[in-house]
Formats: sequence, structure tokens, C-alpha cells
Amino acid sequence: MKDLSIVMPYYNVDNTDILSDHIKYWLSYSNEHKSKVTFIIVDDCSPNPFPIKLIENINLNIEVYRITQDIFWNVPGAKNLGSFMAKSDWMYHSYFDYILPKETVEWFMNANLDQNTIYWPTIYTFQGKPKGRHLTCMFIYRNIFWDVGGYDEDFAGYYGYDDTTLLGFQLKHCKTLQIPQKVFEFKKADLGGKIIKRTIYNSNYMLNYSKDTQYGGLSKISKRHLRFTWESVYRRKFK
Amino acid sequence: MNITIIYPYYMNWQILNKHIESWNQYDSDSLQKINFIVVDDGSPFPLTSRSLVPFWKDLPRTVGKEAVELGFVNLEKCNANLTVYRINEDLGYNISGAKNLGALLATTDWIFLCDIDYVLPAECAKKIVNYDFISGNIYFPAWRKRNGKQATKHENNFVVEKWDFWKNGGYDEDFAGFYAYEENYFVSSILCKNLNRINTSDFWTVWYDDSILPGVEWPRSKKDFKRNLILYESKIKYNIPHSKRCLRFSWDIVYRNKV
Repeated sequence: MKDLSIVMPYYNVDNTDILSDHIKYWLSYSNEHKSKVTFIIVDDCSPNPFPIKLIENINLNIEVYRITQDIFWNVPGAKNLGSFMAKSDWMYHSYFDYILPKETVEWFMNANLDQNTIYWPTIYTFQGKPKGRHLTCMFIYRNIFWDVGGYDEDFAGYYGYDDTTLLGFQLKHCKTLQIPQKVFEFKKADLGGKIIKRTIYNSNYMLNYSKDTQYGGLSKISKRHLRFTWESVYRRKFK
Repeated sequence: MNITIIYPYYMNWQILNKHIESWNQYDSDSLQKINFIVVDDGSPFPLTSRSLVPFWKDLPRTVGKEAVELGFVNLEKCNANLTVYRINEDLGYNISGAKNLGALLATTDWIFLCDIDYVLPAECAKKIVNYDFISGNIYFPAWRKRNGKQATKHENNFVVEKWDFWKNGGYDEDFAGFYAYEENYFVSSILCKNLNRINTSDFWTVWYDDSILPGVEWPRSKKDFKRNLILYESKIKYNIPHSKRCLRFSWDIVYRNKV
């Protein structure tokens, strides 16, 4: 059975019921799986920090880190920090928009996975309809993640394209596979409307970036990571 | 107990070869449980799986003409779990950055941060993987000279939990670029204050001084303490905050071997 680090960036989830729902799902995992899974939550400098009191009394492997500089939409930085802290060979990257049910964790634990493949679970809407996959909701081998340079933090500060770029580099190194195993989506309204899309900067940037990468390839991905201050906030180990 | 041992590297091919000789004598249990991370701190001649490295005379930081003889590192002869990373920019003495990078990339709960001139012999590797490390402690192993004479601890060689290392902020990279005092500040002034200090002789390292290759001067042999001494004293005296900006450089993976 494999260890798994679940890396989740966090930014102001207003509705604490959502966090409670996540925790209910996490607690539904079997004890054997709980001992193998570590939840790594990276608070991306939320004005309202991740509420530690919600997890203080739950028996899980859980670590919370907090970025202490508010860089707008620093998901690339947050996921890089979480990936540095992951100790297992495999990671699952996700967001608080999605719930990872125990059946999918069970599948992961028992599956014979190829280290050179990224596995995308199928996302289901709140109403139960399959919706496809999300580029960065993925099971990924930690070495592959760092071999391609992690997330490019040049994209931090503006919304979008960080995942597309990472994927482009991943595709050069490994295969991808959408799997039927489920991940559930929260209703967007539940998240408190904190996601603000500003795509203009990054789409222009992407054009230039693509142009560069045609010639420079991997050498053009920025490998300057953690361009911010951060701190370790909380750790609990499953007993 | 699985553990990651982290070494910063800067043109230290002779000693790295001594490490490889030592690792190849480890028993299979130690080889399974120890991961080695070597971080090449921007060496002018990058450490690769099969590196030819020039010996230096006394002209540090210039390469090519001054190379008088070639050394050789063959990582492929190494039987250990070894990952080599390279810092792409030569920032000067960037031990703090190199150790931070190693500590971030470690995949075990416990990490052993060590200067590269200290080699862990096979008998101590066996002891370390069976050692009962306790959370909240920081362990300073003894070290010995090559003639076997025991010496006291070295502040920059210690075993600590990865969580505790980062809970205390990691090395302060304000010290990068210049020699020394990063350990006085982070290890002595922060880690040792917040954790229980354990000096142990249960396991030790063997120190290889520069005499391993007489007559060869190190590229960074000019050790100017002054700048970092001033920084250290200022941080302590005026409470200048511990900088938590880590990894002020780009880096790459160079080599990986898994047992």
C-alpha cells in the first residue's frame, strides 16, 4: 500500500460547512488508509487564516502551512510549497472545490500505477453528472513533478495558465490518463465567490511563453520557487 | 528509521568519492533506509553522473586555463539512494541555500544536515537507522579525525525532524554569499533554543580535512568572516528578523539513483 500526500491550497473559504464536509469525507477513509494519507494544506495568505480549530481534534496526518505574503492568485507557489513538504512518492493535487471520496483513495492504494503517468480522476458535478477532468486535480509522482520544474511561479499574481503550462511540460515527460474514479465538485456558490478571474495578463504572457518554449523547451520554465515568506502552522500525526 | 542525509557540494569531488566508497560498504538495511541528497552549490564544473573536474591551483573562480589535472567522479558506481541537485547560480558561499533546498526536497521525517567533509562510516550508518530519534530533539553527533581521535560536536552537523527544521524557519539565506555564521544564527541561536539539544557519541562522522589532496587550494578558500559576523551580530543585537525567504536561486535535478 502506498503513501499519499494530498496537497490543497486554501484561500478564504467563507463557508466553514465546506471545510466540515471535507473533514467528514477524510474521516470516512479506513484507518489503514488514514495512516497512509497526509493532508497538506497551504493557506495562500488568506485574510481569514485556515481555521485550525476545525482540525485540532481529528485523528489524521495533517500539516498546515501559511504563506505570509499576499500575492494575488499564488496557487503555483502554494502548490509548490505543498509539494516540497510532501514526503510520499505520490501526491494528489487538488483544490477545496473538490472532494476526494474514500472509494477513489481505495482505488489509489490498490492500483499498480505507472510513475510516468499522471492520473486524472473524473469530476462529477454536485448533481452527479460527470464533467470531465481538471488539469491539476491529479495523482502525480513526486519526482515527475519536480523533474519538470514544478509550477512556474512567473504565473503567480494573476489567474490562469499556470496549470496549462505545467501540463505542457509534463506531456513532454510522461503520459496522462483520465480514470473513471470519482471526485465530487462543490457548488461554486458555496465557496463564497472569492475566485476572481483576471485572465488578460496571463493569456498574453502565455503567448510569449509558448513562443519562447518552442526554441528553449524546458530550459525556459522558471525554476525559481517559493518567492515569498511562509511558515509552518500546524501538524498532527495519525495515531 | 528512514533518514535523509544532506550535503552541500562545491567542487568537493575528492571527498564525494570518499563518501561513495563509504556508502558502498553499507549493509543493505542502511542502504534501503538512508537517502542521500547532494546539492551542488553552483560549482563552475557541474557535478554530473560522470564528472571530470579540474584540480585547482590558486586561482579560485576562474576556470579553464588554470586546470592542471583532472579529477573524476563516477556517481554511477554509487550503490546508495542518491539524488543530486544543482543550484544554477553561483552565489558565493550559499551553504544556507543549499541546505534549505536539501531540507525541502527530503522525503523522510528526519534529516541529517552535514558539511561535505564529514563522512558517515558504515558502522554509524547502521546505528543511525536503528536510533530512536525523538520529536522535539536536535542531535549533534560526535566526529573523529581520520586517525580515530574523537573530537567534539560540530554545530553545522545535526539530525533534526524536517518539521522542526521548517517550523523554525530554515537557514536564514541573508547569510548566503559570504562565509560562516549561518549556523551560529540558525542552529545555535534558534534551533538549540527551541529544541532539546542532545550531544551524542552513539554515532559519529569522520572528518576529511584539506590534506586529503595536499597542495590543492579550494576555489572558495578565501574565507572572509567579516560580513557575516556583522550580519550575525546585527541580527542578534537589533532583533533583525530571521528571513524566511528561502531558495533565492533556480535549481535543477541532475542525477537520481534508487536502491
